[in-house]
Amino acid sequence: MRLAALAVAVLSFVSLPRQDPPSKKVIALKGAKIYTVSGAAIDAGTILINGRQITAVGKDIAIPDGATVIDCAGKVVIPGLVDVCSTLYVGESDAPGAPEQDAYDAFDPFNETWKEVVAAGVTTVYVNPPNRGVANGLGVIVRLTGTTDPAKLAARRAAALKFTLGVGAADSSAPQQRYQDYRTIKSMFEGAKLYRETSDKYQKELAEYEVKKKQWDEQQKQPKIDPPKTDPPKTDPPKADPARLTEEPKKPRKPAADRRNEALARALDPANPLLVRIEAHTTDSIEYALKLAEEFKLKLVIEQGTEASRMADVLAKAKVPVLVGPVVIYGLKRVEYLGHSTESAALLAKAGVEVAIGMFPTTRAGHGGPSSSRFLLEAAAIAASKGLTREQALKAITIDAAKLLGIQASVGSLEAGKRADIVILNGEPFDAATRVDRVIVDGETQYERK
Amino acid sequence: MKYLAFAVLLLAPQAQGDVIAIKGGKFLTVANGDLEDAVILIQNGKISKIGKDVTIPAGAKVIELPKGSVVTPGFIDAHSYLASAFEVEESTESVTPDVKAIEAFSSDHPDVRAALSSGVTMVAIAPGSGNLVGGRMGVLRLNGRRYDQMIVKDAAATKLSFSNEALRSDREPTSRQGAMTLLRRLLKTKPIDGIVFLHAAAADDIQRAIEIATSFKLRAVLVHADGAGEAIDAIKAARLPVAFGPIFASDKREKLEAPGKLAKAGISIAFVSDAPATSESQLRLAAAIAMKHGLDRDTALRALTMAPAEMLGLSDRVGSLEAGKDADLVIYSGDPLSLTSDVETVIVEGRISFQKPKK
Repeated sequence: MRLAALAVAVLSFVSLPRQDPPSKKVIALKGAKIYTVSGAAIDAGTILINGRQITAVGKDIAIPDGATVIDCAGKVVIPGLVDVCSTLYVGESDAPGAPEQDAYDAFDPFNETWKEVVAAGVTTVYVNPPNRGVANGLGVIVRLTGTTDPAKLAARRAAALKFTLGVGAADSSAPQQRYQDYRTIKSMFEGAKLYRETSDKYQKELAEYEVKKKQWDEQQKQPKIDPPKTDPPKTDPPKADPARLTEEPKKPRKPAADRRNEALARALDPANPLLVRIEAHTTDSIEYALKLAEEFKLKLVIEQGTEASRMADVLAKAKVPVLVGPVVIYGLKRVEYLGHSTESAALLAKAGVEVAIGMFPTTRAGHGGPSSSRFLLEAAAIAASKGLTREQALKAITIDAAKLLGIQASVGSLEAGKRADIVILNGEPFDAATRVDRVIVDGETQYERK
Repeated sequence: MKYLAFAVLLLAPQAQGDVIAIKGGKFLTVANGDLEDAVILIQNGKISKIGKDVTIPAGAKVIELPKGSVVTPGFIDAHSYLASAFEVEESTESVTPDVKAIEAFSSDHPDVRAALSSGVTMVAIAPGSGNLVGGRMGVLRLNGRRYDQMIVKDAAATKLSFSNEALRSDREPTSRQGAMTLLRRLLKTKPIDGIVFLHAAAADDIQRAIEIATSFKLRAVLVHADGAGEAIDAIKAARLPVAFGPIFASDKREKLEAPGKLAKAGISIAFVSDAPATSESQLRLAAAIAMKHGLDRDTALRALTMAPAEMLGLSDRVGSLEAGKDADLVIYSGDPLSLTSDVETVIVEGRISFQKPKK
């Protein structure tokens, strides 16, 4: 009996609701229509947030005592939007780039444009290095938490390696330019392949050396046994131990480190290849990009892909996704945008190509700017008017965008375990006059409409 | 195949006197509220009847709208360089009042077709802002014909520029104060008749434009007016309508909130594309963005239809769905102010001028 009482006491202790540490706020968004994006929409549902994470999403969620309850009756809740290409914190530059250039190094973490972007519901953006030329460098994934600490701002450094294929410096994009760019990128990867082979060979030789060196040191420790003073037996002399080292092993020479080839070689790592993003507009540029992917087994996505829908079946077969954009372009069309169509995302999706929609605020497409992401929801709506379903359009700026950035495990949908990046709207996401009421990033409210 | 059907539809003769009846869906008349389950009759290029109790005459070509369809008046862009952007001004002199902007227009430019298929049926072509007095704005109807057959008004308004673009080092005026002095001298000796569009973006440019408009009693429209949010009181006092825009993704929040503030102050607004800065197809985006930042729905719709018609002095002919008006109208798959809706059919002067290809 006493034992039973003890058991009950222990059990009840164990089953006590886990007390959250005081630093972790519990927030409950109650009564909203929830577009989880990963599953079916939930009417009058609840989302629980603990600290930075979503802990529960559903219809009959018990709200723990002490939670801050935000009444969302009549509201619509969607995941924080993900822009697959922004210039936030870095802007643009006309200087030529290089594979090792890092967008992170161009950060101005005190720039306040992020406030305009987060107010439109965008909570995560990918930022390319801000330069022109064929090889642009390493991009960064940024979460709009408002921190001015660049190390915290960059959720993932070297998130992709970016190239531009077939965009001339002047308004003269010619087939020759596209071929030249292809050759340039090809020879860069050929160099990186050699670098990688040399580096692999060194690593292998170094490992062998270390084993031998150990053995040598052991051998040296053994006392030399003087031969006995007696006459040697009339037998054959002892055979030399074939495993015994006769001379000290030589340390292999370390090849010179080269940041450029280091960056390129990461894209050639068969175990964990770095994502390669190639901006390509015309069909022949896209073909060259596919050729590079095949030749070097790259993990490739096409950026912008202005004419990609014309070769949608080819892209579907090659299983190469397209980051579609910009949907909205301004100014006189530069030559690479002559084939621009707002139907692109719909046609690609229909052919089975994985797509996400981004803003790509390049000055080449008119009045771009670091705040462009604030029209992301509108860009998706326009793509929906041309044949994407509303569901596809919302996914193209949330979970599908997260997937193509490789961060779908932590953002892009409203699911337990994901980061609490949540947008509260006063109506359906794509309806006229729907306004953003509140934006939560990592569990913190970063925008609230007055 | 789909294009063949489209071509046949376009080429089918629609003789004078033929009657087209549009039935079902929802009509946003702009003038008299929204009508559901009503009928529009079109004859001789005009709306002959509109209402719930209109009987369709025998022999009429009936367009039965699918459920959810919405009909609006054709949208009007009150300030554009559509298909004329390389020749926006005669830049040898800064005062060129007789220059007609529409003479730079190319009717076969692909942007013209793109504008029409986005539901814009009328466009005012403006001289640029590099001249103090740029010349005449003309109004064209996007009817798919030759340039001379598109003209609604070849001199609908005069354009004046309060932009820094009008200041040059090699001719008068070289400074803002010089520009104001020159304008006063010009207007004193030769007053401008009719409508005047005043290019003014920043709040202080707006102030200067208002000063000229007020002291010379101009029938003026402010164009662009990015900084209108800081000049609401002055605009309201001068009772000037505002042709607002273009709106870019890179604009500051204050600019995006300006249309809502202007509307609340009772100031008439229209959205302009300033094409190619933005395109005619982005007028709906501009309206949607302004709504997202506080503009009411009715003003947003008016800003694409009746308001620009009024600013161009054409409100007796276009801008609303009313009997007697020109039959320029657009059929949408849904609410035209929601960007997920698409243009299905565009009717210009009673002719089907664009039909979305069937997939």
